[in-house]
Amino acid sequence: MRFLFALLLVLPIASPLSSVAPPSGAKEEPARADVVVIKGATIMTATKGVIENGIVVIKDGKIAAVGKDVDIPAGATVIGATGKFLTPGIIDTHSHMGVYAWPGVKANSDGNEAVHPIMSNVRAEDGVNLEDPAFKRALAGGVTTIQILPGSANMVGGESFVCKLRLGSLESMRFEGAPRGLKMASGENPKRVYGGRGQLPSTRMGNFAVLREYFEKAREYRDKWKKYDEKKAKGEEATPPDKDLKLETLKDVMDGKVLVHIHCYRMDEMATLIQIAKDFGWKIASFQHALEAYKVADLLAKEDIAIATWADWWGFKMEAWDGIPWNASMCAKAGVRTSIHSDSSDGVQRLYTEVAKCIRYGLSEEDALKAITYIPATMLGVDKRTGSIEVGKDADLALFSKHPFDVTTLVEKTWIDGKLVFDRKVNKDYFGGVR
Amino acid sequence: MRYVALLMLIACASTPVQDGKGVIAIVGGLVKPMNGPDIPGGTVLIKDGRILEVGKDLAIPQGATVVDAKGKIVMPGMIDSNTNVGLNEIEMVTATRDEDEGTDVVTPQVWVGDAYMPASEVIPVTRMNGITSVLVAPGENNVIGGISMLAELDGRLTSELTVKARVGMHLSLGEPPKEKWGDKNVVQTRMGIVAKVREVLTKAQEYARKLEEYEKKKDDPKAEKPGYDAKMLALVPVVRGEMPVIVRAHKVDDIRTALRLADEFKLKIILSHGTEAWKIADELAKRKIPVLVGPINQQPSEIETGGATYENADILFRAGVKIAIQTGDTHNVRNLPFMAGLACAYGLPEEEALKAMTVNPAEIFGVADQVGVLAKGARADVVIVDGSPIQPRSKVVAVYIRGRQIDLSSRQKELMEKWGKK
Repeated sequence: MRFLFALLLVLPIASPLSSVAPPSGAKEEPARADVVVIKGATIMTATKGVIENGIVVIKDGKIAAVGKDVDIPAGATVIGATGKFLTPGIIDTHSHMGVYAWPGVKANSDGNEAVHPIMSNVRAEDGVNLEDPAFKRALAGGVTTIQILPGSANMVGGESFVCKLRLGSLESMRFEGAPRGLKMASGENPKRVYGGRGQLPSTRMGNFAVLREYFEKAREYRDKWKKYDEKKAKGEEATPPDKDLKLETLKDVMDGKVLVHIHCYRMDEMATLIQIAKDFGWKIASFQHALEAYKVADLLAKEDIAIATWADWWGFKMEAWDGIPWNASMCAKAGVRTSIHSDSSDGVQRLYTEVAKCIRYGLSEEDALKAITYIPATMLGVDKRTGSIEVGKDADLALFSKHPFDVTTLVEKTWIDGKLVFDRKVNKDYFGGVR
Repeated sequence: MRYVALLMLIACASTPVQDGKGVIAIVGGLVKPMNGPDIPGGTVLIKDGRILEVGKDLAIPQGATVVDAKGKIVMPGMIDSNTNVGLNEIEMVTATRDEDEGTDVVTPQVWVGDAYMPASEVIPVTRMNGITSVLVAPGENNVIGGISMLAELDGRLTSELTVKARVGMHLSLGEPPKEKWGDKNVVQTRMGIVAKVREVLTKAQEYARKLEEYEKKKDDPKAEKPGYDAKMLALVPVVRGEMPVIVRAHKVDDIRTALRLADEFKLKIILSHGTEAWKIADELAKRKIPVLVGPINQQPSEIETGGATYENADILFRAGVKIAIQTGDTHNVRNLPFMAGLACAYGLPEEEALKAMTVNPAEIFGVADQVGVLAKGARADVVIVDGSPIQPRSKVVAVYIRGRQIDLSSRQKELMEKWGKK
């Protein structure tokens, strides 16, 4: 009964794209599906403050105008959002959706190619199960862009897949123009996986010995290609070196073509990794998990290495024993680009509640919103395109029923490139609604 | 200053009924007794670790320590109805794990109190968010895992922090026993799990009958006492219906199995997790079977949780099922109120969410005169929050356990202070 009543209430506005009410004062003109206006919401831009009762105009998939006094183009589809909150689409730099698809049976386990500690030759996109139901749940959580990473069994786990949740195919999802990303790891996981088999590495010494060994090889490999290219350029006779796909990726890392994201918990390992990167002339884009980042926040700020961490996970292994819920706030205050990631097909649905917990431990509300939008965009090298509500950026947006840091809030609508990709009233299956 | 003024005001206004030495008076807050209506501007009096009185305009005994809770919420400490706190310190360090007695598939004779570590670093982290008691449950790998206890999160010795030593016998249906014991050729299927339960409970019924016969004629020198059997002795209160069986089940088929076993062996059951309980909410309500629902964020991430929905708690509540909320966690039991908040996002009224973390679990575990309520004679487990308790941005201002104000520091806070200074 309640459901029927709700349905009656919902029906007239369930499909805003077709039922267009012309804004007051606007002339009767044919509806323009390419222009969408979200009107009346509190707009939390992430980078340019908060606009109460604001207007966002979306045109051709981009944000055409943002503000309080913005003209509503004639014929535009207007979505009334008074009392609601509009944020940039949420971005998660650490996802295993698709490579560890639900349900979590062995047959769906495609995230760790744990046959060798250096697997720079594999790519997450080759393991993605597009039918993973978690993708839709993420859309119901306002998530628009994610980085799908291989697991952390290997010191080098493989290339990431940076994508927008434009579900359908790998090609529809691929974030066009996003830089390549590479997952690396350290600490307990590689040493446990290989040590458990009596293979190298079984210690942190072994972990880093393997990593250095492969970068030494990659350096030799790069030098061979350099010599070959020089000879060729001079018109001399030259035989090209044998292609090695593992070293090819590491060579691209040293050439600055790949953003490196490293799973790392302990501060001593962060320091070691920073040194290794320097020794081989590359840069670390981010430490992932980074539970002890608060101990070396000044160093991370100096090196401009971002972190992606959880709000409060700790204690699940020895290297997570010193995890504290003040990590994010301490790092943000020290000037580290600080983001909250999910590493979980559950957590990804409520990154806004996760980051709300960080506010409890001292993170400012402004930094909290940035930690799930703008900062992760910078980490993936896509901040010119997404991560904030600014004119010219992609219209990747989430509309919340209440303030995003209110635990009882719900994402009502999600847009990617101006296209409505989730509507709570229509896509009940996206959040597992059963009534 | 405000505090002193208030103290003077109170001292003058009321006739001291007794010596207030050792009395704590929490005044001025919105008092939520949880077993009755809210008392705006109410007073909670505490003495000797117990609640002395709760009400409006109570006389404050002279010399009492007065705590001003104006503008704040005063409620019973929250209870998480399924955790491994005190049994699991660091998940991947086996030396610190004590929740699964993995030597046998049926271990009714083990009691969590024998492993509980009152000095666990998890405890101070948990109570800083206002959780003051937890069900300490054995793990889920064994078909019968042992006996749980309800522990207050403060105290040096298990004996002093035990609200109820023996709460329930834990039965695990579904995937974990299959995974743990399948390769060992002990139980491999749901058929095997239930056969094992039936076998053990049938023996326990026999044992209980023999014990009863012996007790009837124990003056007869020829009467034979049944031989000591730790497992059987542990199960006697279960088959007599005196100790509830807390059944871990996600899938509706497993929940129905629990109901069949309850009928067959006349068990008193409490359902734990109940991910697909919403599918038979009316039946559970009719049979008055309580559900320790959660974790609220349960996902369709396993085969047996395929029917997971955030709406579960609200559907159960509206059908009339008594619900308590559990995290099923250890290290982040502190997130219990936010889990409840998630259930509220999907329809559960906030008041019901608060009940599901206080009076409901207390009633389900048979300790509603002890914890989960602000009532005369109950243990003085009290929390003061500066806003809605389910909101992450609210702050827990003070926590009392057995009338003692808890220092809200923790190893985590010490780390923050140590490295923050650097």
